[in-house]
Amino acid sequence: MTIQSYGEQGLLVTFDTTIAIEVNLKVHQLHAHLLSSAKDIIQKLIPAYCSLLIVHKSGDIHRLQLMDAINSWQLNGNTPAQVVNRHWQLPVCYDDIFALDQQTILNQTGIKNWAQLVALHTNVPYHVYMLGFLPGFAYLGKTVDELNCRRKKAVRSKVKAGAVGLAGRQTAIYPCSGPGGWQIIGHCPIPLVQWAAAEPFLFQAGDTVTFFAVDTLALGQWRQRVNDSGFHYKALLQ
Amino acid sequence: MIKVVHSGMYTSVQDDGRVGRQAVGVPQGGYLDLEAANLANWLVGNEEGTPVLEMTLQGPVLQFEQATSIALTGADLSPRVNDKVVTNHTTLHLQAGDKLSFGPCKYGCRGYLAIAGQWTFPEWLASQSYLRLVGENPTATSLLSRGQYLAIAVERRQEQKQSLRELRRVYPRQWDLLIWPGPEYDRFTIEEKQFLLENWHLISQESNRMGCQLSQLIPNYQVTEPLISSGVLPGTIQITNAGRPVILLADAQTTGGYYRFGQLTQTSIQQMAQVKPGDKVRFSMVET
Repeated sequence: MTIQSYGEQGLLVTFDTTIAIEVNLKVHQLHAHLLSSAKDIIQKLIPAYCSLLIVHKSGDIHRLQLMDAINSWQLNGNTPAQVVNRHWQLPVCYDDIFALDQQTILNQTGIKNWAQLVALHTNVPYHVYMLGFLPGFAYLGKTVDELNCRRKKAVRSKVKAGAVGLAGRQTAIYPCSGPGGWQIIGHCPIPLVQWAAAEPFLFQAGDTVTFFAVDTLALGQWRQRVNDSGFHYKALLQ
Repeated sequence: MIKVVHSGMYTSVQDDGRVGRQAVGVPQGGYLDLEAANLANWLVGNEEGTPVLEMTLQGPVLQFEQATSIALTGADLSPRVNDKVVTNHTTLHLQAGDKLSFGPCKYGCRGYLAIAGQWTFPEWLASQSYLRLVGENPTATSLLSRGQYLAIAVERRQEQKQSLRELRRVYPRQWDLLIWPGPEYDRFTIEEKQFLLENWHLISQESNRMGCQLSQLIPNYQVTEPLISSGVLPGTIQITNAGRPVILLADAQTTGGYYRFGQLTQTSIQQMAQVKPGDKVRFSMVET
Protein backbone atom coordinates (compact mmCIF):
# COMPACT_ATOMS: atom_id res chain seq x y z
CA MET A 1 0.00 0.00 0.00
CA THR A 2 1.48 3.38 -0.96
CA ILE A 3 0.28 6.81 0.07
CA GLN A 4 1.09 9.84 -2.10
CA SER A 5 0.37 13.49 -1.55
CA TYR A 6 -2.07 14.89 -4.15
CA GLY A 7 -2.14 18.66 -3.77
CA GLU A 8 -2.64 20.52 -0.48
CA GLN A 9 -5.69 18.52 0.58
CA GLY A 10 -5.37 15.19 -1.24
CA LEU A 11 -3.94 11.81 -0.34
CA LEU A 12 -3.89 8.97 -2.87
CA VAL A 13 -3.76 5.50 -1.37
CA THR A 14 -2.81 2.85 -3.93
CA PHE A 15 -3.00 -0.88 -3.39
CA ASP A 16 -1.62 -3.49 -5.83
CA THR A 17 -1.76 -1.94 -9.33
CA THR A 18 -4.00 -4.57 -10.85
CA ILE A 19 -7.69 -5.09 -11.50
CA ALA A 20 -8.66 -7.85 -9.10
CA ILE A 21 -11.57 -8.31 -6.73
CA GLU A 22 -9.48 -8.88 -3.62
CA VAL A 23 -7.55 -5.65 -4.26
CA ASN A 24 -10.76 -3.73 -4.98
CA LEU A 25 -12.33 -5.01 -1.77
CA LYS A 26 -9.50 -3.39 0.21
CA VAL A 27 -10.26 -0.06 -1.47
CA HIS A 28 -13.89 -0.25 -0.41
CA GLN A 29 -13.07 -1.46 3.06
CA LEU A 30 -10.77 1.51 3.65
CA HIS A 31 -13.44 3.75 2.11
CA ALA A 32 -16.06 2.46 4.52
CA HIS A 33 -13.67 2.71 7.47
CA LEU A 34 -12.81 6.35 6.73
CA LEU A 35 -16.45 7.26 6.16
CA SER A 36 -17.30 6.08 9.65
CA SER A 37 -14.18 7.05 11.61
CA ALA A 38 -12.92 10.23 9.93
CA LYS A 39 -15.96 11.88 8.36
CA ASP A 40 -15.43 15.17 10.24
CA ILE A 41 -12.12 15.83 8.50
CA ILE A 42 -12.91 14.41 5.03
CA GLN A 43 -14.49 16.38 2.18
CA LYS A 44 -14.63 13.67 -0.45
CA LEU A 45 -13.49 10.16 -1.27
CA ILE A 46 -13.05 8.69 -4.74
CA PRO A 47 -12.68 4.89 -4.70
CA ALA A 48 -11.43 3.30 -7.92
CA TYR A 49 -10.15 -0.10 -9.04
CA CYS A 50 -7.08 -0.23 -6.85
CA SER A 51 -6.79 3.24 -5.35
CA LEU A 52 -8.63 5.57 -3.01
CA LEU A 53 -8.32 9.33 -3.39
CA ILE A 54 -9.13 11.22 -0.21
CA VAL A 55 -9.60 14.98 0.08
CA HIS A 56 -9.34 16.24 3.64
CA LYS A 57 -10.25 19.60 5.11
CA SER A 58 -7.68 22.32 4.66
CA GLY A 59 -4.91 22.37 7.29
CA ASP A 60 -1.90 20.20 8.05
CA ILE A 61 -3.49 18.86 11.23
CA HIS A 62 -6.27 17.28 9.19
CA ARG A 63 -3.76 15.49 6.99
CA LEU A 64 -2.07 14.12 10.10
CA GLN A 65 -5.41 12.99 11.55
CA LEU A 66 -6.25 11.30 8.26
CA MET A 67 -2.92 9.44 8.32
CA ASP A 68 -3.80 8.27 11.84
CA ALA A 69 -7.11 6.89 10.58
CA ILE A 70 -5.48 5.09 7.65
CA ASN A 71 -2.72 3.64 9.82
CA SER A 72 -5.15 2.43 12.45
CA TRP A 73 -7.08 0.59 9.73
CA GLN A 74 -3.89 -1.08 8.54
CA LEU A 75 -2.72 -2.00 12.04
CA ASN A 76 -6.04 -3.62 12.85
CA GLY A 77 -5.44 -6.09 10.01
CA ASN A 78 -7.50 -4.20 7.43
CA THR A 79 -10.68 -5.14 9.23
CA PRO A 80 -13.57 -5.03 6.81
CA ALA A 81 -16.40 -2.71 7.84
CA GLN A 82 -19.89 -4.10 7.57
CA VAL A 83 -20.44 -3.88 3.84
CA VAL A 84 -23.76 -5.09 2.44
CA ASN A 85 -23.26 -6.74 -0.92
CA ARG A 86 -26.26 -7.08 -3.17
CA HIS A 87 -26.61 -9.47 -6.09
CA TRP A 88 -28.56 -8.18 -9.05
CA GLN A 89 -30.01 -10.18 -11.96
CA LEU A 90 -30.85 -7.98 -14.91
CA PRO A 91 -32.42 -8.69 -18.32
CA VAL A 92 -30.54 -7.68 -21.47
CA CYS A 93 -31.77 -7.84 -25.05
CA TYR A 94 -28.91 -8.68 -27.41
CA ASP A 95 -30.96 -8.46 -30.62
CA ASP A 96 -29.41 -6.90 -33.72
CA ILE A 97 -31.24 -3.62 -33.24
CA PHE A 98 -29.35 -3.03 -29.97
CA ALA A 99 -26.08 -4.80 -30.78
CA LEU A 100 -24.60 -1.79 -32.54
CA ASP A 101 -21.04 -3.13 -32.62
CA GLN A 102 -21.85 -6.77 -33.31
CA GLN A 103 -19.60 -7.18 -36.34
CA THR A 104 -16.67 -5.29 -34.84
CA ILE A 105 -16.65 -7.47 -31.75
CA LEU A 106 -17.01 -10.75 -33.62
CA ASN A 107 -14.07 -9.71 -35.81
CA GLN A 108 -11.91 -8.65 -32.87
CA THR A 109 -12.62 -11.60 -30.61
CA GLY A 110 -12.90 -14.34 -33.24
CA ILE A 111 -16.09 -15.63 -31.57
CA LYS A 112 -17.99 -17.72 -34.13
CA ASN A 113 -21.47 -16.22 -33.83
CA TRP A 114 -23.57 -13.82 -31.76
CA ALA A 115 -25.37 -16.56 -29.83
CA GLN A 116 -22.03 -17.73 -28.53
CA LEU A 117 -21.09 -14.23 -27.41
CA VAL A 118 -24.39 -13.87 -25.58
CA ALA A 119 -23.73 -17.18 -23.83
CA LEU A 120 -20.32 -15.91 -22.71
CA HIS A 121 -21.68 -12.56 -21.43
CA THR A 122 -24.71 -13.88 -19.54
CA ASN A 123 -24.93 -15.89 -16.32
CA VAL A 124 -21.51 -14.74 -15.13
CA PRO A 125 -21.50 -12.72 -11.87
CA TYR A 126 -19.72 -9.39 -12.42
CA HIS A 127 -18.26 -7.40 -9.56
CA VAL A 128 -19.02 -3.64 -9.40
CA TYR A 129 -15.50 -2.23 -9.08
CA MET A 130 -16.25 1.47 -8.98
CA LEU A 131 -18.50 4.28 -10.21
CA GLY A 132 -17.08 7.07 -12.36
CA PHE A 133 -16.95 8.67 -15.84
CA LEU A 134 -20.66 9.58 -15.73
CA PRO A 135 -22.96 9.92 -12.72
CA GLY A 136 -23.89 6.38 -11.67
CA PHE A 137 -21.72 4.67 -14.33
CA ALA A 138 -20.63 1.36 -12.80
CA TYR A 139 -17.57 -0.51 -14.05
CA LEU A 140 -18.35 -4.26 -13.99
CA GLY A 141 -15.90 -7.09 -14.47
CA LYS A 142 -14.22 -9.17 -15.29
CA THR A 143 -15.70 -10.69 -18.42
CA VAL A 144 -14.27 -14.01 -19.62
CA ASP A 145 -11.05 -13.74 -21.56
CA GLU A 146 -12.74 -14.58 -24.87
CA LEU A 147 -14.72 -11.33 -24.71
CA ASN A 148 -11.64 -9.11 -24.42
CA CYS A 149 -11.98 -6.29 -26.97
CA ARG A 150 -10.70 -2.78 -27.60
CA ARG A 151 -12.54 0.47 -27.16
CA LYS A 152 -13.85 2.13 -30.33
CA LYS A 153 -11.39 4.43 -32.07
CA ALA A 154 -14.12 6.92 -32.93
CA VAL A 155 -16.16 7.74 -29.83
CA ARG A 156 -19.95 7.94 -30.29
CA SER A 157 -21.19 11.38 -29.35
CA LYS A 158 -24.35 9.92 -27.84
CA VAL A 159 -24.91 6.46 -26.46
CA LYS A 160 -28.46 5.90 -25.19
CA ALA A 161 -29.26 5.18 -21.57
CA GLY A 162 -29.53 1.40 -21.09
CA ALA A 163 -26.89 0.52 -23.69
CA VAL A 164 -24.76 -2.42 -22.58
CA GLY A 165 -21.09 -2.22 -23.56
CA LEU A 166 -17.74 -3.98 -23.51
CA ALA A 167 -14.23 -2.53 -23.17
CA GLY A 168 -11.20 -4.63 -22.36
CA ARG A 169 -12.41 -7.16 -19.81
CA GLN A 170 -14.98 -4.77 -18.40
CA THR A 171 -18.66 -4.46 -19.09
CA ALA A 172 -21.14 -1.75 -18.18
CA ILE A 173 -24.64 -0.35 -18.70
CA TYR A 174 -24.84 3.35 -19.51
CA PRO A 175 -27.01 4.84 -16.73
CA CYS A 176 -27.80 7.93 -18.79
CA SER A 177 -27.12 9.08 -22.31
CA GLY A 178 -23.60 10.31 -22.90
CA PRO A 179 -20.57 10.09 -25.14
CA GLY A 180 -19.17 6.58 -25.29
CA GLY A 181 -16.25 4.62 -26.64
CA TRP A 182 -17.35 1.18 -25.48
CA GLN A 183 -18.48 -1.53 -27.92
CA ILE A 184 -22.28 -1.77 -27.63
CA ILE A 185 -23.79 -5.28 -27.49
CA GLY A 186 -27.31 -4.89 -26.13
CA HIS A 187 -29.90 -2.99 -24.14
CA CYS A 188 -31.07 -3.27 -20.55
CA PRO A 189 -34.59 -1.94 -19.80
CA ILE A 190 -34.03 -1.42 -16.07
CA PRO A 191 -33.57 2.27 -15.18
CA LEU A 192 -30.35 2.60 -13.22
CA VAL A 193 -31.09 6.16 -12.12
CA GLN A 194 -33.97 7.56 -10.11
CA TRP A 195 -33.22 11.25 -10.46
CA ALA A 196 -35.58 12.32 -7.68
CA ALA A 197 -34.24 9.90 -5.06
CA ALA A 198 -31.86 10.93 -2.29
CA GLU A 199 -29.58 8.11 -3.49
CA PRO A 200 -30.27 8.15 -7.22
CA PHE A 201 -28.06 5.31 -8.47
CA LEU A 202 -28.93 1.64 -8.33
CA PHE A 203 -25.46 0.09 -8.28
CA GLN A 204 -22.98 0.40 -5.46
CA ALA A 205 -19.36 -0.68 -5.45
CA GLY A 206 -19.20 -4.22 -4.10
CA ASP A 207 -22.50 -5.34 -5.66
CA THR A 208 -22.49 -8.21 -8.15
CA VAL A 209 -24.49 -8.18 -11.36
CA THR A 210 -25.51 -11.11 -13.57
CA PHE A 211 -27.22 -10.69 -16.92
CA PHE A 212 -29.78 -12.96 -18.54
CA ALA A 213 -30.85 -12.74 -22.18
CA VAL A 214 -34.38 -11.72 -23.22
CA ASP A 215 -35.88 -11.43 -26.69
CA THR A 216 -37.71 -8.36 -27.97
CA LEU A 217 -41.07 -9.65 -26.75
CA ALA A 218 -39.84 -10.21 -23.23
CA LEU A 219 -38.07 -6.84 -23.40
CA GLY A 220 -41.43 -5.19 -24.03
CA GLN A 221 -42.88 -6.98 -21.02
CA TRP A 222 -39.99 -5.85 -18.84
CA ARG A 223 -40.49 -2.26 -19.97
CA GLN A 224 -44.14 -2.46 -18.94
CA ARG A 225 -43.29 -4.06 -15.63
CA VAL A 226 -40.77 -1.31 -14.86
CA ASN A 227 -43.32 1.40 -15.59
CA ASP A 228 -45.90 -0.27 -13.36
CA SER A 229 -46.36 1.68 -10.12
CA GLY A 230 -46.02 -1.54 -8.12
CA PHE A 231 -42.57 -2.33 -9.49
CA HIS A 232 -39.81 -2.57 -6.94
CA TYR A 233 -36.10 -3.01 -7.54
CA LYS A 234 -36.08 -5.79 -4.92
CA ALA A 235 -37.59 -8.01 -7.63
CA LEU A 236 -34.19 -7.97 -9.33
CA LEU A 237 -32.21 -9.00 -6.26
CA GLN A 238 -31.09 -12.56 -5.90
CA MET B 1 -39.99 37.19 -11.97
CA ILE B 2 -37.05 37.87 -14.26
CA LYS B 3 -37.40 37.26 -17.97
CA VAL B 4 -34.44 35.89 -19.90
CA VAL B 5 -34.54 37.97 -23.08
CA HIS B 6 -31.18 36.61 -24.19
CA SER B 7 -29.28 33.82 -22.44
CA GLY B 8 -25.73 35.08 -23.05
CA MET B 9 -22.96 32.70 -24.08
CA TYR B 10 -23.19 30.29 -21.16
CA THR B 11 -25.10 31.47 -18.12
CA SER B 12 -25.76 28.89 -15.42
CA VAL B 13 -26.91 28.75 -11.82
CA GLN B 14 -24.09 27.76 -9.50
CA ASP B 15 -23.86 27.36 -5.75
CA ASP B 16 -21.37 25.48 -3.59
CA GLY B 17 -21.90 22.33 -5.60
CA ARG B 18 -22.15 18.65 -4.71
CA VAL B 19 -19.06 17.94 -2.62
CA GLY B 20 -19.08 14.42 -1.25
CA ARG B 21 -20.87 12.77 -4.18
CA GLN B 22 -17.79 12.02 -6.23
CA ALA B 23 -17.74 8.34 -5.14
CA VAL B 24 -20.79 7.77 -7.36
CA GLY B 25 -19.41 9.63 -10.37
CA VAL B 26 -21.06 13.01 -9.76
CA PRO B 27 -18.71 15.97 -10.40
CA GLN B 28 -18.32 18.54 -7.64
CA GLY B 29 -19.51 21.43 -9.82
CA GLY B 30 -20.44 24.74 -8.26
CA TYR B 31 -19.11 28.25 -8.88
CA LEU B 32 -15.61 28.32 -10.29
CA ASP B 33 -14.76 31.67 -8.67
CA LEU B 34 -15.52 31.21 -5.00
CA GLU B 35 -14.23 34.67 -4.08
CA ALA B 36 -16.35 36.48 -6.66
CA ALA B 37 -19.46 34.46 -5.79
CA ASN B 38 -19.02 35.07 -2.06
CA LEU B 39 -18.52 38.78 -2.68
CA ALA B 40 -21.64 39.00 -4.83
CA ASN B 41 -23.70 37.31 -2.12
CA TRP B 42 -22.20 39.57 0.56
CA LEU B 43 -23.09 42.69 -1.42
CA VAL B 44 -26.76 41.69 -1.41
CA GLY B 45 -26.85 40.40 2.15
CA ASN B 46 -27.19 36.72 1.24
CA GLU B 47 -25.64 33.80 3.12
CA GLU B 48 -22.54 32.20 1.64
CA GLY B 49 -23.45 29.35 -0.68
CA THR B 50 -26.60 31.02 -2.01
CA PRO B 51 -26.95 30.26 -5.73
CA VAL B 52 -25.77 32.93 -8.15
CA LEU B 53 -25.73 33.23 -11.92
CA GLU B 54 -22.34 32.50 -13.44
CA MET B 55 -22.03 34.33 -16.77
CA THR B 56 -19.33 33.37 -19.27
CA LEU B 57 -17.68 35.96 -21.55
CA GLN B 58 -20.96 37.35 -22.91
CA GLY B 59 -23.64 38.12 -20.34
CA PRO B 60 -27.42 37.65 -20.67
CA VAL B 61 -30.16 40.23 -21.18
CA LEU B 62 -32.55 40.10 -18.22
CA GLN B 63 -35.83 41.97 -17.78
CA PHE B 64 -36.75 42.50 -14.13
CA GLU B 65 -40.49 42.45 -13.54
CA GLN B 66 -40.18 43.51 -9.91
CA ALA B 67 -37.84 45.76 -7.91
CA THR B 68 -34.72 43.77 -6.98
CA SER B 69 -31.38 44.53 -5.35
CA ILE B 70 -28.51 42.88 -7.22
CA ALA B 71 -24.73 42.84 -7.36
CA LEU B 72 -22.19 41.95 -10.04
CA THR B 73 -18.66 40.66 -9.46
CA GLY B 74 -15.91 38.74 -11.22
CA ALA B 75 -15.18 39.52 -14.87
CA ASP B 76 -16.06 42.99 -16.14
CA LEU B 77 -18.74 42.22 -18.72
CA SER B 78 -19.60 45.91 -19.31
CA PRO B 79 -22.94 45.86 -17.46
CA ARG B 80 -25.72 48.32 -18.22
CA VAL B 81 -29.12 48.96 -16.67
CA ASN B 82 -31.55 50.36 -19.26
CA ASP B 83 -28.48 51.04 -21.42
CA LYS B 84 -26.83 53.19 -18.75
CA VAL B 85 -23.41 52.05 -17.58
CA VAL B 86 -23.25 50.50 -14.09
CA THR B 87 -20.35 48.88 -12.25
CA ASN B 88 -19.33 45.70 -10.52
CA HIS B 89 -18.63 45.49 -6.77
CA THR B 90 -21.57 47.54 -5.53
CA THR B 91 -25.21 46.90 -4.65
CA LEU B 92 -27.52 48.00 -7.47
CA HIS B 93 -31.24 48.67 -7.06
CA LEU B 94 -33.32 47.74 -10.05
CA GLN B 95 -36.93 48.88 -10.48
CA ALA B 96 -39.79 46.91 -12.02
CA GLY B 97 -39.30 47.03 -15.79
CA ASP B 98 -35.52 47.58 -15.67
CA LYS B 99 -33.37 45.76 -18.19
CA LEU B 100 -29.92 44.45 -17.32
CA SER B 101 -27.62 43.84 -20.28
CA PHE B 102 -23.92 43.37 -20.96
CA GLY B 103 -21.37 44.37 -23.57
CA PRO B 104 -17.79 43.40 -24.34
CA CYS B 105 -15.78 41.42 -21.81
CA LYS B 106 -13.12 43.88 -20.60
CA TYR B 107 -11.20 41.42 -18.45
CA GLY B 108 -11.68 38.00 -16.91
CA CYS B 109 -13.87 35.16 -18.09
CA ARG B 110 -16.74 34.66 -15.67
CA GLY B 111 -18.98 37.24 -14.05
CA TYR B 112 -21.38 36.62 -11.18
CA LEU B 113 -24.86 38.00 -10.52
CA ALA B 114 -26.46 37.71 -7.10
CA ILE B 115 -29.94 38.90 -6.12
CA ALA B 116 -31.04 39.89 -2.64
CA GLY B 117 -33.33 36.95 -1.98
CA GLN B 118 -33.70 33.39 -3.22
CA TRP B 119 -33.97 31.81 -6.61
CA THR B 120 -36.22 28.80 -6.94
CA PHE B 121 -34.33 26.55 -9.29
CA PRO B 122 -34.82 22.80 -8.78
CA GLU B 123 -32.39 21.12 -6.43
CA TRP B 124 -30.60 17.91 -7.27
CA LEU B 125 -28.52 16.26 -4.56
CA ALA B 126 -28.92 19.37 -2.40
CA SER B 127 -27.55 21.80 -5.01
CA GLN B 128 -29.05 24.06 -7.65
CA SER B 129 -25.85 24.00 -9.73
CA TYR B 130 -26.22 23.17 -13.40
CA LEU B 131 -24.57 19.95 -14.45
CA ARG B 132 -24.30 19.20 -18.14
CA LEU B 133 -25.78 15.77 -18.93
CA VAL B 134 -26.82 14.33 -22.29
CA GLY B 135 -30.45 13.26 -22.19
CA GLU B 136 -32.55 13.47 -19.03
CA ASN B 137 -31.23 16.16 -16.68
CA PRO B 138 -32.79 17.18 -13.35
CA THR B 139 -30.73 20.41 -13.47
CA ALA B 140 -31.76 21.36 -17.02
CA THR B 141 -33.43 24.68 -16.12
CA SER B 142 -30.30 25.81 -14.28
CA LEU B 143 -28.78 26.63 -17.67
CA LEU B 144 -30.47 29.81 -18.83
CA SER B 145 -32.28 29.81 -22.15
CA ARG B 146 -34.07 32.51 -24.10
CA GLY B 147 -37.67 33.06 -23.02
CA GLN B 148 -37.20 31.39 -19.64
CA TYR B 149 -38.73 33.05 -16.57
CA LEU B 150 -36.71 33.00 -13.36
CA ALA B 151 -38.78 33.02 -10.19
CA ILE B 152 -37.64 34.77 -7.04
CA ALA B 153 -39.11 33.42 -3.82
CA VAL B 154 -37.91 35.97 -1.30
CA GLU B 155 -36.69 39.41 -2.05
CA ARG B 156 -35.78 42.32 0.09
CA ARG B 157 -34.24 45.67 -0.51
CA GLN B 158 -30.61 45.54 0.43
CA GLU B 159 -29.03 48.74 1.68
CA GLN B 160 -26.11 49.99 -0.36
CA LYS B 161 -22.83 48.14 0.11
CA GLN B 162 -19.50 48.45 -1.64
CA SER B 163 -16.54 46.15 -1.80
CA LEU B 164 -13.08 47.25 -0.59
CA ARG B 165 -10.70 48.62 -3.20
CA GLU B 166 -8.10 45.91 -2.64
CA LEU B 167 -10.71 43.21 -3.28
CA ARG B 168 -11.65 44.54 -6.71
CA ARG B 169 -9.54 42.35 -8.92
CA VAL B 170 -8.58 43.07 -12.50
CA TYR B 171 -7.61 39.88 -14.28
CA PRO B 172 -4.56 39.49 -16.55
CA ARG B 173 -4.17 37.58 -19.83
CA GLN B 174 -1.06 35.70 -18.67
CA TRP B 175 -1.06 33.59 -15.56
CA ASP B 176 1.63 32.06 -13.35
CA LEU B 177 0.17 28.92 -11.85
CA LEU B 178 1.78 27.12 -8.92
CA ILE B 179 1.53 23.35 -8.94
CA TRP B 180 2.38 20.30 -6.85
CA PRO B 181 3.69 17.13 -8.55
CA GLY B 182 0.89 14.74 -9.51
CA PRO B 183 0.89 11.00 -8.70
CA GLU B 184 2.46 10.10 -12.07
CA TYR B 185 4.90 13.04 -12.19
CA ASP B 186 7.92 10.73 -12.01
CA ARG B 187 6.80 8.80 -15.09
CA PHE B 188 7.42 11.81 -17.32
CA THR B 189 10.76 12.19 -19.08
CA ILE B 190 13.01 15.17 -18.49
CA GLU B 191 12.09 16.53 -21.92
CA GLU B 192 8.39 16.21 -21.18
CA LYS B 193 8.79 17.96 -17.81
CA GLN B 194 10.80 20.72 -19.46
CA PHE B 195 8.16 21.17 -22.13
CA LEU B 196 5.46 21.57 -19.50
CA LEU B 197 7.39 23.63 -16.95
CA GLU B 198 9.53 25.91 -19.11
CA ASN B 199 6.98 27.23 -21.58
CA TRP B 200 4.04 29.57 -21.75
CA HIS B 201 1.02 27.57 -22.88
CA LEU B 202 -1.92 28.90 -24.88
CA ILE B 203 -5.42 28.06 -23.62
CA SER B 204 -7.39 26.44 -26.44
CA GLN B 205 -10.91 27.32 -27.58
CA GLU B 206 -11.85 23.78 -26.54
CA SER B 207 -12.18 24.87 -22.94
CA ASN B 208 -15.19 24.88 -20.64
CA ARG B 209 -16.24 24.11 -17.06
CA MET B 210 -14.94 20.55 -17.40
CA GLY B 211 -11.43 21.71 -18.20
CA CYS B 212 -9.07 24.07 -19.98
CA GLN B 213 -7.22 22.37 -22.80
CA LEU B 214 -3.80 23.64 -23.79
CA SER B 215 -3.29 24.26 -27.50
CA GLN B 216 -0.01 22.43 -27.88
CA LEU B 217 0.54 18.71 -27.47
CA ILE B 218 3.63 17.35 -25.75
CA PRO B 219 5.92 16.40 -28.65
CA ASN B 220 6.47 12.65 -29.18
CA TYR B 221 4.40 11.74 -26.13
CA GLN B 222 3.93 8.03 -25.56
CA VAL B 223 2.38 6.12 -22.71
CA THR B 224 4.07 2.78 -22.16
CA GLU B 225 1.98 1.61 -19.22
CA PRO B 226 -1.67 2.70 -19.26
CA LEU B 227 -3.03 3.95 -15.96
CA ILE B 228 -5.78 1.97 -14.27
CA SER B 229 -8.67 4.41 -13.76
CA SER B 230 -8.16 6.46 -10.61
CA GLY B 231 -9.67 9.54 -8.99
CA VAL B 232 -8.99 13.05 -10.27
CA LEU B 233 -9.74 16.50 -8.83
CA PRO B 234 -10.49 19.99 -10.09
CA GLY B 235 -7.02 21.50 -10.61
CA THR B 236 -5.42 18.28 -11.83
CA ILE B 237 -3.22 18.65 -14.94
CA GLN B 238 -4.08 15.53 -16.89
CA ILE B 239 -2.17 14.47 -20.02
CA THR B 240 -4.31 12.55 -22.54
CA ASN B 241 -2.71 9.63 -24.39
CA ALA B 242 -2.30 11.94 -27.39
CA GLY B 243 -0.15 14.26 -25.24
CA ARG B 244 -2.80 16.95 -24.71
CA PRO B 245 -2.52 18.70 -21.34
CA VAL B 246 -5.86 19.53 -19.75
CA ILE B 247 -6.38 21.49 -16.53
CA LEU B 248 -9.45 19.87 -14.98
CA LEU B 249 -12.14 22.10 -13.49
CA ALA B 250 -15.21 21.60 -11.30
CA ASP B 251 -17.42 19.80 -13.87
CA ALA B 252 -14.72 17.29 -14.88
CA GLN B 253 -15.27 13.54 -14.60
CA THR B 254 -14.37 12.14 -11.20
CA THR B 255 -12.05 9.39 -12.43
CA GLY B 256 -9.67 9.03 -15.35
CA GLY B 257 -7.13 6.76 -16.97
CA TYR B 258 -4.64 9.44 -18.02
CA TYR B 259 -1.43 10.36 -16.23
CA ARG B 260 -1.70 13.13 -13.67
CA PHE B 261 1.29 15.43 -14.16
CA GLY B 262 0.48 17.97 -11.49
CA GLN B 263 -2.10 19.45 -9.16
CA LEU B 264 -2.70 23.21 -9.03
CA THR B 265 -2.54 24.90 -5.61
CA GLN B 266 -5.88 26.05 -4.20
CA THR B 267 -4.97 29.64 -5.09
CA SER B 268 -4.24 28.68 -8.70
CA ILE B 269 -7.47 26.67 -8.95
CA GLN B 270 -9.32 29.81 -7.85
CA GLN B 271 -7.53 31.80 -10.57
CA MET B 272 -8.58 29.33 -13.28
CA ALA B 273 -12.15 30.67 -13.04
CA GLN B 274 -11.01 33.81 -14.89
CA VAL B 275 -8.72 32.14 -17.46
CA LYS B 276 -10.16 32.17 -20.98
CA PRO B 277 -9.24 30.84 -24.43
CA GLY B 278 -6.36 32.86 -25.84
CA ASP B 279 -4.81 33.47 -22.40
CA LYS B 280 -1.37 32.07 -21.63
CA VAL B 281 -0.43 30.05 -18.56
CA ARG B 282 2.88 28.96 -17.10
CA PHE B 283 3.39 26.26 -14.49
CA SER B 284 5.87 26.47 -11.63
CA MET B 285 6.47 23.74 -9.09
CA VAL B 286 5.90 24.74 -5.48
CA GLU B 287 9.25 24.93 -3.70
CA THR B 288 9.41 22.45 -0.84
